Amino acid sequence: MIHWDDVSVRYPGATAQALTGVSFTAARGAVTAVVGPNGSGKSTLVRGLLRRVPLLSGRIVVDGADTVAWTQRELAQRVAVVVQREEPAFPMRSGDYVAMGRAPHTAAWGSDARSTAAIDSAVAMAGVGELLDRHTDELSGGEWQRLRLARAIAQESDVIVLDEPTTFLDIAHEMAAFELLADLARRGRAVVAVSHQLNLVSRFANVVVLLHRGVVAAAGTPDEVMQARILEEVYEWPLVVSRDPAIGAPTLVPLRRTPRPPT
Amino acid sequence: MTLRVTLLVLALVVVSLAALALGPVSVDARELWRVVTGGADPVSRAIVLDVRAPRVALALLVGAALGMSGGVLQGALRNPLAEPWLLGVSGGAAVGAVLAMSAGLGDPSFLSLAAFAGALAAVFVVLGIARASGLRADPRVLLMAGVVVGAFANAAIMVLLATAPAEAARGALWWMMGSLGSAQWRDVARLGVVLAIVGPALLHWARDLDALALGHDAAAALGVAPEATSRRLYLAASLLAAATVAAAGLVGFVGLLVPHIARSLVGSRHRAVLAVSALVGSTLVVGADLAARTTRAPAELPLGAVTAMVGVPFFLSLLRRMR
Repeated sequence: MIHWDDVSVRYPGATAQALTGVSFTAARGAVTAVVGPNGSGKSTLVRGLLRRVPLLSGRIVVDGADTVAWTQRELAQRVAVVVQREEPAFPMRSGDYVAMGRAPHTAAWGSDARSTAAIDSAVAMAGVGELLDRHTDELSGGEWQRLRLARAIAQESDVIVLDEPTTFLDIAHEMAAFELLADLARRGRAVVAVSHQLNLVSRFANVVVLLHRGVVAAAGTPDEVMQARILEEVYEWPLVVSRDPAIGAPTLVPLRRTPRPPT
Repeated sequence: MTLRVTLLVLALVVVSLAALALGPVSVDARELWRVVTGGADPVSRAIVLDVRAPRVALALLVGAALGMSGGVLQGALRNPLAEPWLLGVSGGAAVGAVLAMSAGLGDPSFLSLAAFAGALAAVFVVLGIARASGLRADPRVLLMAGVVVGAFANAAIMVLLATAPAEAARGALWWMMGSLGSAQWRDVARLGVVLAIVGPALLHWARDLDALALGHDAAAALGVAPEATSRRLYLAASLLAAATVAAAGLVGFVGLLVPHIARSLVGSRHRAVLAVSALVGSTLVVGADLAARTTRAPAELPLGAVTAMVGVPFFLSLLRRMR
């Protein structure tokens, strides 16, 4: 499991804190979704984990160990992260890209049988087998997202953190991506997904953490967090919450503020 | 890929042999063989071993070092235009050399030392600016710091040249155009030591470069601390470039062009890119130096001008093939 423990972050030069005393736990075997409006601090949680921004206070704990004691490489062995933006400066073969997920585990000149097996299984899980011989600049946005997921799965860490894993994906690929995350959780990993897709999150997440201005505004099951009263206040937009007709998960419908023009 | 590398090695061998054989006094293949095995005419022996061999060896090392240096910088800074000369190394070296010359200290070995010192000083100023800027997360900061230091160095050179005696100014200009004309085994040994240490280290770190080339956040996710790693790589690449400056002055375009050729041959994984950049760079500089000293013999063309003239059409053809 991974635990953000009273984490506060202030970006160098900024006056306001990006995160203030954020605490939540993402357990093994569960999908934990972090949601919230733009600028609410979702990505800062991920960047703090990766040490791209220093923690003002608090700690991030993985399976009881404070990550601050680890090297960057040790962190990458235990936590796989798919960052929000990433683009190869020079196009590379997709298969080589997925194999980079093994870098935290292997020596500078080495790869091993376990790496081959891990890569094969990650490729199969993410369904990117037919992409491997293509170059990264020939992939569609959705294919590139799936390839990044495959790379993170190949890292074989107990914790996997994804910052907006479904950007650029159409509805089928979006659903497939979340099904994959749920599958990873079922296999015992702790999955943390930062997402704007509240309706997907409510179908797939076991726990939802709602951030608002760097503070946890609500946390709990999708039913507990996805309430019109809570969401309207955080997103500052009128909305109603109805039910997914298939599984009854809360489903958000944002409302038009201006009347529909006559046609 | 194996075939391409074999052909490259073959090209390097052929160009190097041609460079040993051709010149004001041509040495044919049979005589070249006798120089190696013994029993050659003492004059051809002296020409090949004392004059041409150190020059060819130095060209080889200069090309390898510049090719690797450019490959590292383009990957670490995620910029296809990055090269050692863009990042202040050349400017710093030139300031060092011009200072030495205008102070009347034009002795070649002191000049080398001054250029090397100037290059390293510029590198540390660039690193200092990047560190102080606070924009740690951005790989463009190193690039911008390098450009700024280079611009300042250029201004300093213009001031120095404007006030220097005519003879010193002319010497400085020639030096800045790059030349292997005064190559000696001593220079080969110095650059060889630097390359023998830094080259393998860069190959060892090549996988970190693969990660950095994805961006700093992605590199961090793969277990590579981006700031510290790119500083280390920048320093190593600059050290290589500074050592070539001390040996041969400013040989332009190699660091920019060669990594692009290497990637078009073997893809984007940096271990292959760096190794092949060393090969391509060697071949290019040995060939360019051969052209520089034979096309208008007995006059010599500036090596830096020849590498650029050969490089520009190459570069244009690469641009055309770019998707």
